[in-house]
Amino acid sequence: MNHLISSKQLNLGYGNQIVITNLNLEIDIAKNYFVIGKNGAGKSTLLNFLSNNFEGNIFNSNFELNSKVSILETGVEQNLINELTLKENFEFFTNGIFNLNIHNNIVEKYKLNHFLNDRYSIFSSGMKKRSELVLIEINEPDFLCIDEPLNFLDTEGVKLLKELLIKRTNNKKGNLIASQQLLDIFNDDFKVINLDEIQ
Amino acid sequence: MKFNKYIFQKELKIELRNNISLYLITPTVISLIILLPLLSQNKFFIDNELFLILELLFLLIFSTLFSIRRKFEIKKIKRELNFAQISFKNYFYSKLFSEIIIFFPQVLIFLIIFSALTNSTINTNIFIIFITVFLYIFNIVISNLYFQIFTNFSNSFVQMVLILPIYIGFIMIISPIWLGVAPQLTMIYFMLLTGTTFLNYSFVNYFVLKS
Repeated sequence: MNHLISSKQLNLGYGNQIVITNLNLEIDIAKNYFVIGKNGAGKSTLLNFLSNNFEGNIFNSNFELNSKVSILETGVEQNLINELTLKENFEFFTNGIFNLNIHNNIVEKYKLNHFLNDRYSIFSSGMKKRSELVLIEINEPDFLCIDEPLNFLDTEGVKLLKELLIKRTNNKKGNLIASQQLLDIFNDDFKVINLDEIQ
Repeated sequence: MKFNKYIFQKELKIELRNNISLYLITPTVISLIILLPLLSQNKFFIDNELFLILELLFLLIFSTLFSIRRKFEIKKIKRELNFAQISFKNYFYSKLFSEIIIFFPQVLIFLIIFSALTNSTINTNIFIIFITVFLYIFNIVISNLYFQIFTNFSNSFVQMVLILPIYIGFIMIISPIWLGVAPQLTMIYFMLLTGTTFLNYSFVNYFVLKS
């Protein structure tokens, strides 16, 4: 099964409010997608749903979600733990795979090598985002969801993210990016899903 | 039951670095132990029986403080688990273990300090006490995790109000063993506590497997 999700009628919402209505969607594990839509169109809801972070209600729906695929989501909300240091976070989120001798080049690339023993709570938003990108590069999930990719990242950070996405695409690993509008830097191999038009 | 050592390490580190952790609650409760009996009887000599009842009462307060010491943010935990690719089942059992490891020594220290400060003893043999304390803590921790994870009572006060009667129930089972009211019935109460523990574990485990 190469599909991450195959839906004929997907209805998602919060409380009694439906956010995504009758969405027909087919997402392939190995392909890239760019979800666009206005505020409230359901971009984050869709990303959360795909990455198992959805806290709302699934209404009368007909869909098949591939539960065997490893999916990571990085977005506006932080995933790492404030009370731990960066190194401890890396160890926890990689289930002990993180080894400085092996992964030092990745940490150095994201310019975090001097902050490994610092508490994560003192990090700036940009450094937090970079930390998550390091973990994505180490863990290599089958599918990656990124909500508002340019948030918190500077020019160099965006360049690193683009490199990461190219590397993932070459390794036949899929990505899904959600943003309000199409971003020039990611438009090469991305299939566009416009939530304003297809609902 | 699969145990994840990284969850265990994380929980211990957070507990140590958390400013509102039990390491601050413990001295507060212990100072209360000394003050309250003196205030209640308005004298410096207290009956031994009263101390034993107070010990259970403070254990109850201590357990409640432990339960509401840190708010569980389920949404945040869920995000963490998804990002770390750890299953909920794995998290629950590791969390249960870490909570017991955090709470068990503190309760033992609490009981030893109480006995030392009040010069009172518990009227049962030490082995029974040790097992009883462990089963009590296991029940407290698993009930607390159930309330925090599987119910929607996000307010600490509401949680405390709902959790307290359950804890009183456990205290009522262990009180005859500790007070030594009827030594011939100790084993019966002990079996009752063991049975309740199995029942409690099965009940919560059902929700864990269902999730």
